[in-house]
Amino acid sequence: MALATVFERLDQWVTTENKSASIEGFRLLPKSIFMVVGQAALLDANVQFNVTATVDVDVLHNAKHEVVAKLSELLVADGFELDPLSNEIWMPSETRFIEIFKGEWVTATRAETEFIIVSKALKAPEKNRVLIRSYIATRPPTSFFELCEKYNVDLNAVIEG
Amino acid sequence: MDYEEIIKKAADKTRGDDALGQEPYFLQTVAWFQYLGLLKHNKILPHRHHPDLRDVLKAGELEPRILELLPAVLILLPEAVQLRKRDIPEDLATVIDDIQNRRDCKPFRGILPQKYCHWLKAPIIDIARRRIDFRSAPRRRSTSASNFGDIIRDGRLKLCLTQESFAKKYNLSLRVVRDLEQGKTTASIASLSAILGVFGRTLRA
Repeated sequence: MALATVFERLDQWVTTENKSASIEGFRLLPKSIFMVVGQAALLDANVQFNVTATVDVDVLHNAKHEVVAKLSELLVADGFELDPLSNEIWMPSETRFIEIFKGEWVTATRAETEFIIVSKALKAPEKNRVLIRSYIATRPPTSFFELCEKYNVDLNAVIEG
Repeated sequence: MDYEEIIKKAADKTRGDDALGQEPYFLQTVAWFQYLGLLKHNKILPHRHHPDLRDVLKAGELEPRILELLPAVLILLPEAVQLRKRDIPEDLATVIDDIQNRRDCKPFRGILPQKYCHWLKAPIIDIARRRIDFRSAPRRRSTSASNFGDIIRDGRLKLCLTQESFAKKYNLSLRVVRDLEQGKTTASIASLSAILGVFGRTLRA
């Protein structure tokens, strides 16, 4: 999957929309920031451990409804879906994001792996037990364990099941 | 928290998980769900299989996302899985019955109703249906050298191996595997026999 390509197409669409809007005297669509989290971000990061994902993409964003609707359409065309409950996903406040696309109107980033795993370990450990184990087996940075401690994630319990 | 101890424990468990992840029932289920466009996996390639419901349920024990998709698959795409009614476990039958009769649903093996019910309305189900319809269309069979390529490619994908890992596993040259799959007849009879032997086939004059 090339998430960057999807956001590039979205940026092209916003550019076209804003050109027409400025000619016709309508308000322009503002700049949008998208932050991909969850399994889609892990797949995009080409991680070494096994990742299975359903085709719903979790994206935190500040975009207008029309832009989100277009993103949803573009994702479907690529065999994905935008999870409508994306904005409810909890991520640690320390989460770092890596830029995957920057256009005139659209900026897209994806969360770094360790923060995604902390989120999963805290919010959905049963569903992600195998994934979390295999991530920990890759010797994550100490900051991962410190975050788990901060958010009271019982890694022993997550690993043992 | 002893980080080293946690890493060791996770590594031990991961070895077991990885072994289960190499079982044909898991590889074939994930490959098929990928082929249908319902799942993505970073290491297993999409491929046409027609897994048995028991295999799908077993695969779901390792990867709960398969269980998340299963009620929608059985209701909207029953032809996607080989099943006899008596194979449907009671908890799954109850979930299907509750959905079909618009009753309040209960969690299914730890998966919340809003998660598995989401897939009932998802556009990807239509995409999966089109892929199943395409699959049922008769395939053109050739009698040329490229037929060897089809046999080898299909066999390799059934084992869920890339060309590189297939060549390595069976001690073959990557070029030979590539050429044969592309219908180029540059392989020696010995190489061809060795590869066909992997799939239980033999060369006949």
